[in-house]
Amino acid sequence: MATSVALAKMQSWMQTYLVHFGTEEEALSDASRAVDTSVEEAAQYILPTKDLTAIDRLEIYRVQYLMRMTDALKIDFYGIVDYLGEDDFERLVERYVQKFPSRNYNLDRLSDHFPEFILQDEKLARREFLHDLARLELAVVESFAAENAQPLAVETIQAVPEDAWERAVMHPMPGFRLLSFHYPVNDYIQAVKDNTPRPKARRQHSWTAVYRRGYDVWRLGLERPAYELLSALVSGVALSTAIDQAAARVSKKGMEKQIFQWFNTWVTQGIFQKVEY
Amino acid sequence: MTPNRWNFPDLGYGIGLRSVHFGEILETNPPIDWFEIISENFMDTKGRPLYVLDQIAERYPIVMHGVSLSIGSTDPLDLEYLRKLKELAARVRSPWVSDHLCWTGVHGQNVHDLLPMPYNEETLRYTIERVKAVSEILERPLVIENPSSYVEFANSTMTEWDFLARLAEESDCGLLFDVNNVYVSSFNHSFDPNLYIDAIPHDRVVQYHLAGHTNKETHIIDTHNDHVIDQVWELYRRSCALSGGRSTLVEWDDDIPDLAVVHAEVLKAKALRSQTATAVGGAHGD
Repeated sequence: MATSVALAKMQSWMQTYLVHFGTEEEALSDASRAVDTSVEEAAQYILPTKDLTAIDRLEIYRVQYLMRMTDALKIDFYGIVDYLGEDDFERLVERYVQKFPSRNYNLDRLSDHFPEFILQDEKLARREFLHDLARLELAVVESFAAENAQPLAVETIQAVPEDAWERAVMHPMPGFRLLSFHYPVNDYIQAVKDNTPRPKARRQHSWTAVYRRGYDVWRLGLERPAYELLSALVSGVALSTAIDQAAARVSKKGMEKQIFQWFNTWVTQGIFQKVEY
Repeated sequence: MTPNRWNFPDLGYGIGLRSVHFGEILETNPPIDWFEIISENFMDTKGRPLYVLDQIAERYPIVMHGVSLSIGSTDPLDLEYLRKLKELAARVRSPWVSDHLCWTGVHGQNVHDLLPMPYNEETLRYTIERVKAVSEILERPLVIENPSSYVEFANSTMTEWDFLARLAEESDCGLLFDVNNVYVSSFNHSFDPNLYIDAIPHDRVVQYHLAGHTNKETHIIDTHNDHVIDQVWELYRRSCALSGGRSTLVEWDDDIPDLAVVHAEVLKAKALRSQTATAVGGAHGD
């Protein structure tokens, strides 16, 4: 299929203009440079109307571009919007889509690089906190879209022979995500959801499991030992080894009961898909 | 009535499937004839949207309408996208698959807007080849929707309706005729919308779209956020008189009201079409 050169040139020019966040003059200048033509010549690609200049008409698309990108990210990162406010969030989106424009037919994928960009964005204050927050919000988005599967039934666990537990390996559900943070971001998100006073963004380790039960996504706050045990389990470490490792890190007193309670919660919450032995 | 070229069924009066209505549809099985989905919203997810879609597809006809085919782009066709599109079409048994006469980005980027094309011989030839290629991959005729637009290109040498008519004939594609888009573009580009309506090859129209818009006085934006205005109903009536009527759908994408309100909107089309049929029948009978 032969590519139309004139069409290709017009599309490069128009796209460069539409995704530009500078002034009209800057956008026009960069767009013209992109197709190696003069500003005057390029400005004649579009016809004016009696009420609107050619640039006024192009601006309709340019304004909508930023709105569309902002609206798409707002849905996924409502915690970030809450912390920054609408205006600063929009400025963040402007900077983000310049570095990571959408390259997929699915607008949902625009979120993919948002956490990593936040960490790199020098114009942003409290980057580490916002990075943690964005990671948690992205994990929820990923969990929502993940493949569905049947969670492991309690009866299946009960049917595992006693001598097999030593080598038993647990497999998490496709929508499961386990995260470690420098800030209490799960508490922050919950406060946003409940519209209660937000916790201060003070440095404090926290751990969260994100998982899907049926088609609903849940966030489960964890203590460090529980996180480490769960982390070992989902990375393929055999159950008995993972428990031994976890037990070695915490006080032995009451540990067995505690581990049983954690494990029971994780199974009944549908975090695991299968046990292999 | 002029049958459509492929004998696609007349599905009646449908609405765009939007997530705010998922629960109500599943719980109440409203008497809506059919639903249209935005294809891309269901192509990658394995979560609730797909689960809901599968259930709704068991109860209602589903038609797929895309926004990212980018038929007019000078980038190569996205074969992975087309593979998934075809897969979804088989899953929901979509009788036809539609997208817009537009481009959505170049150089691998997607601006997620329906950007207009210049209408000239060069772009026509190029688009015809792309439509043929897509139809071949999908193993069904592609159905192309007329866009709403806010710019016109100096190097256009034909009207949009001439371009669309020739594209449809020469690539053998169907048309999704968006009557609101005709109205929006006629306002933005100062042409008579009746000329557009009359020039379309009605045997190739397989579906109608209706929607509301936002009038900014100097231009109109196709916002899909309100009721259909009277002038658009009149254009719909005019087109139905020529086509005999086709599967008709109301799109409502912003400030989405209750399901009953959207459904009532499309039922206005039903009433209008039966009046048109009576009037046409009467004229012939006399």
